Amino acid sequence: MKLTLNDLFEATYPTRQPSANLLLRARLVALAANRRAQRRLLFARVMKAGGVLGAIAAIGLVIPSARAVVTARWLEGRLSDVKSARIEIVTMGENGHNSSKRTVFYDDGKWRLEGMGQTLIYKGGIMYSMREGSQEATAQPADGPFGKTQSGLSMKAMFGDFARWGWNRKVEISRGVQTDQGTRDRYLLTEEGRTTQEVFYVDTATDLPTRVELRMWSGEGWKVGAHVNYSYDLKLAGSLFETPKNISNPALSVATLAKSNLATVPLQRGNFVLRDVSVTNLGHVIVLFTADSQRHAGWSPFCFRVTDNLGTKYTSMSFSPSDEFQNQRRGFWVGDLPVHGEWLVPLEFSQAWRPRKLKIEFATSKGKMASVVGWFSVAPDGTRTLHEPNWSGYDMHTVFEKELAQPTCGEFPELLAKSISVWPSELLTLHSEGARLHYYRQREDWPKVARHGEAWLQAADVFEANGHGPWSRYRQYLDLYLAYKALGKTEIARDYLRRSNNSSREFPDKEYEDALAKALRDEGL
Amino acid sequence: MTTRTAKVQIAQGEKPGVKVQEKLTPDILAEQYLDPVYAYIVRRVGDPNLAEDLAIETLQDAMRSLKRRRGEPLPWLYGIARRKVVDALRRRKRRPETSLDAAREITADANENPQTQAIRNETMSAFKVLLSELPETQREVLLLQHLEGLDVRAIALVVGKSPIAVNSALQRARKTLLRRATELGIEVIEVNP
Repeated sequence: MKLTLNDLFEATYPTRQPSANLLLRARLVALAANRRAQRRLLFARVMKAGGVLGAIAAIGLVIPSARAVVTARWLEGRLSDVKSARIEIVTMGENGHNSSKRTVFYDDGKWRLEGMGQTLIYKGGIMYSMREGSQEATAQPADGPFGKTQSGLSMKAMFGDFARWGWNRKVEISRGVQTDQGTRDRYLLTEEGRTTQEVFYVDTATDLPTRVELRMWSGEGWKVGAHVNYSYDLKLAGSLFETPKNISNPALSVATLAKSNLATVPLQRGNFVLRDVSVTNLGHVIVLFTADSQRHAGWSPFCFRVTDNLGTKYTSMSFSPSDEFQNQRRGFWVGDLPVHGEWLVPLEFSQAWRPRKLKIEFATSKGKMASVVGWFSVAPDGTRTLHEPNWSGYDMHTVFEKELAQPTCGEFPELLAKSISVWPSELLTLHSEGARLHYYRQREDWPKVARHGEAWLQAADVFEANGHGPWSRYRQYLDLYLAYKALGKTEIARDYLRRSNNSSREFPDKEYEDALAKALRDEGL
Repeated sequence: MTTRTAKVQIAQGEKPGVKVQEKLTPDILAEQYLDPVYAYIVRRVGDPNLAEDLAIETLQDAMRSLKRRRGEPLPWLYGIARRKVVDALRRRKRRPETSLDAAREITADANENPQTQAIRNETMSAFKVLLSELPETQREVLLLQHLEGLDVRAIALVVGKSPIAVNSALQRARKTLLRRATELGIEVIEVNP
């Protein structure tokens, strides 16, 4: 058999086509990259136009979900309608007393945020962050201090922003309301299914809010959960926005990380040290840890199991400490130990912004060839495959069990940001809202079912608009029917019931089919 | 930067030989370059699952550094992929594992009789051994030329060597390969690639 070299190469290394899953993953990666590029372009345009910000940015600090977003995404912001402002945000405790206070200062494109145990100064595209009581700051390029790009503090600017973001707030305006501060226009902002509402007291002469109350539904009625007081065009001390003198870069302080030791597990061949835990606003748990790579080289993969205070469980992707080498100095190191970051994809999760108890278990494989599969994949036709690891092959070690004081307790946002940039936010939102919906549906917490059901539908729309899907909705429609029926909104409920009945069944489920049949009978449809 | 052929350039009223910059976007990378990148990686690591992960990592790195790109897209992408492959192979050396997919790499052709299949598979196995005996750079330049179809200049970009060094490595590799093939009784027709 005579062959040319080319024949030999081609026969020895036949061309392989990428799988459908890989094609999807590549598209998702491109989607995420495009979004990053679009955001950068938007900032550039906004800066060129000369301006932007937002009253809602301040409210964003109050609304817990938005507050968590603030820690994860920073967007450029310059006000177009005021030169300076002081925004004081006070959250209320259960007993109605003030429980915490945060202050935001704004001066001509520069920002200072105080509270939550740290101070942030943003100016000129750089964010300086200092821990409370510390003179040492870290500096990093940042796109702005808030999670949304607002165009101004005035009500007109705010409603323009709402329209841009697709926020459907219902507004009731009462003119000439008497307050302690004088006559004001009162704007009540509500949204169907939301358990929070905002009341803005607005100076008619300037169209700027002077006070905002954030109200929360307590089961008995609306209670003020936080209030925000505004002062404008003040002469603020220049020292507030001074660049910190003592800047330590890189922002990730290895010295701090080396000191942090949430838990140590002595294992047969070395130590595993849990250094830090972060929980993103979407519920992703990022565990930073070190393990003795020399001694553990050649081990079968480890993995994590994370349980939160609502009893839901997470499974992790696998990793192996031997993936890092002493002679390959990449990433972050503590002494001779590489720092690993593990991004745990939430299969189910609860509201991440609430103080939550996390139990983190570290599993080592009993057998050399035990495989770890803890990922989910989304096929191009929208079906979701969930792979659960078989824990029977593992030794479990509880390494961390603690009530977390803050939604994001991590010290190392760079690693966190690096990890979450891998997946487009739409997919994560879809999964996280779906998990919340499922959780509250089981507990028959109908206001929350309505809220997260609507959020899931929106996320599914966005995801499909980006060319992924379709997503079957008949279960979610049925959940929304039950929620709105329980909330006494029968017309909306019946509409969702009809939609559920007319939707395709991707995964026929007897429980849902029975519930749907019963609901149709009850409604005479 | 993509160079279009002189024929196409003339047909479109452009000056032949002038390099035309085509904007490379994340979408184009994902849609047009995933196949060659994946093929490049899977040939080197064998394991399709690992190759998929590395292909995604390669695309991610490429998308992040689009602005810094110089030269033609494929050699640039192969250069990134090559570093990923080297890292992965080093990891594997420390943590050996056998991929079932890799074991299935030599497959039977339904249209061949069993004897021909056996000879073919034997030849392929022997050829793989011969390739593995070559120094890493020589093996890589051969693969880039014969499988990825790159010219000497593009190969030089991928492996980070001068075109002269690449040419020399190619000559030596081909000479060694042909000599060893003859010794093992593999009949190779020498045709310029």
